Amino acid sequence: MLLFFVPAVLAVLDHREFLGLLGLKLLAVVLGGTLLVMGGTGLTVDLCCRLSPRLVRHDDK
Amino acid sequence: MTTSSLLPGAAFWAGLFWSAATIGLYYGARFVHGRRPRWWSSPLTLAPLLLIGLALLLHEQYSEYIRGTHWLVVMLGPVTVAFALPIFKQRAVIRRHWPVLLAGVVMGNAIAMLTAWGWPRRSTSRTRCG
Repeated sequence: MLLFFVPAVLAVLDHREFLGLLGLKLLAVVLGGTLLVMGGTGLTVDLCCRLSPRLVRHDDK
Repeated sequence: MTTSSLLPGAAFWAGLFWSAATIGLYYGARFVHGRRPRWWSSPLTLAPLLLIGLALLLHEQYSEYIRGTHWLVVMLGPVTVAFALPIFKQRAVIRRHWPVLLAGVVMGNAIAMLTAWGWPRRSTSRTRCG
């Protein structure tokens, strides 16, 4: 499935400026943002499950 | 009508070559990742890196590359729709936990928008100050 995303990555050939430090900065922003979204979503769901014992009981069923 | 117009042209062979290279390198990367799972050997890291190297080596333009492989990008549409199937299979879990899932979706969206909006703003203000 990831195969279909590969050609899009090659667009960097038209933007050589991203192959340097700017690309690394953008990569850091993308990775940091992804981490924050994944972590924040996970913590929210975890907290919601903890705060509503009704849902936890459903889980155990 | 000349015979040459009936035969596939150079653009066709270039498209075939780049499609084959993309698919071949992707499955090659998958094979390598299966044997030696490292972060850099992920198919979505290794395959584009090898393809970029190959394109740079052959002095290929992106416009030429995408002309031959655009059909792969077009396939993303049906692939995205096909994601409905695994979600449909989890419909019992979704129905049971929808408030928690909704909270997670709302929070995830909010964090995504705030980080995307906050990051460039801070970096531009920093460059303006320094």
